[in-house]
Amino acid sequence: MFRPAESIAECFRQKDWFAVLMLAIVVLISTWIASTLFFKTTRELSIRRFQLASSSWLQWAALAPVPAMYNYENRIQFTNERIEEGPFNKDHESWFECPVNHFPARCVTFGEFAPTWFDETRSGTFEMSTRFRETELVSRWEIREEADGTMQVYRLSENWVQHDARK
Amino acid sequence: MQESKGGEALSLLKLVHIGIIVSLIWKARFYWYSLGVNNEYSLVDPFFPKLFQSQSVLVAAWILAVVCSMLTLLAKWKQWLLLLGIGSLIGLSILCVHQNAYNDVTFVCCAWTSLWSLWLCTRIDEGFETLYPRAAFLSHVILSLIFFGGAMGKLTPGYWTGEVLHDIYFKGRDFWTYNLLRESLSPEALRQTATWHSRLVVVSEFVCAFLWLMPRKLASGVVLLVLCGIALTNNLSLFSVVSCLIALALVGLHDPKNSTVQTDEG
Repeated sequence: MFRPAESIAECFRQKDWFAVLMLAIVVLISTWIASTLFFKTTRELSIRRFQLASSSWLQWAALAPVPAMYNYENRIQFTNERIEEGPFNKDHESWFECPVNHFPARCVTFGEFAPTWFDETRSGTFEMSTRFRETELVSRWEIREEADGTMQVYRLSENWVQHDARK
Repeated sequence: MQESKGGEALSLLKLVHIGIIVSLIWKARFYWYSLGVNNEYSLVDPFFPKLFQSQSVLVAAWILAVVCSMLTLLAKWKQWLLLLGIGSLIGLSILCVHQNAYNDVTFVCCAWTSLWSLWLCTRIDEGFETLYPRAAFLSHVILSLIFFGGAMGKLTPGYWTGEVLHDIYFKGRDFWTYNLLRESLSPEALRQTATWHSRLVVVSEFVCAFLWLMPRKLASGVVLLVLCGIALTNNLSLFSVVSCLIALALVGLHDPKNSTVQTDEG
């Protein structure tokens, strides 16, 4: 018999409900992933996930099992200047831009860039863009130093951009 | 306490936990550095609940996952194996949603591998002749899902044109393959190589998304080749991601001692 059919039949024969549950979860997640190609809603939710822009932590955490190895086109920009909604001054000494191969928000939350970005000034503006096919989300955060010496993330804006899918 | 009867299944379980341990320890260097940085440049993102911002929770979750996997190598009793399996999965799940570790591919892959291990613990007393084909199939299903996620997220112009991988790897990454390509190719040829490399990545991930349809040993062989290729040609740090998956893939190459075990290889 065909291997998947034989294995699934054996799960039921052995009353292996854990395996059945695992397979159901895999089917559910695969359907979710495939749906991002065709449905704007799941695509936007997936892009929001990359930028910690989901409506709640719980909704975001529910997507954690979805594998997303090297997904989407992600870029970041940072400057120590507080520019709010203004353009980045690319001549400023602290301006930094690069493509990233993972969740772009991690550049701030994982701290790997912190020694470079926050060594002299513990504040700045961070912008990230995540594009999947014709849909792109550009989000801007401000990082401010608090009275207790910690830095805090403030979400300034989220802008959706529509592209021609082929370019 | 009931000692597990599943000798071969237990060996496979331990093999997979060795893969998880290698992955987690390989990643420890980065997190050790990251812990120091996060203590000095403490950053609060109110998106995360307090518990999942805490550095202590991060360390505790990592230790829980590593210790549970290590103790699994010594355990024989089913109840202990189950308890350790649950502990490992809880630790890895916390890492997947923590402010300083979330959606790190290492932890996501380890969590999926750990889920497979927990499933095997629940079936450890089942006869190996019926259990093994299912164990191999489920390991290929999980590997397929991970590659399916990777492949689908690359169906976007930046990967088809090669721009993303060109900018991230080909332009400046200090690794032997990219250094060699930069030394030997003109910028235009390098850009074109990036395009074809990127397309090859997408295609190979799609092939690996269908391991569950392939014969058992072929599926394991293909995915082992791809996983080792990813780490050896891109970045040795990626062994933190692929080690647990390599262990999961090795399950499919096992030759059962009892010849009555039904496999698709006959």
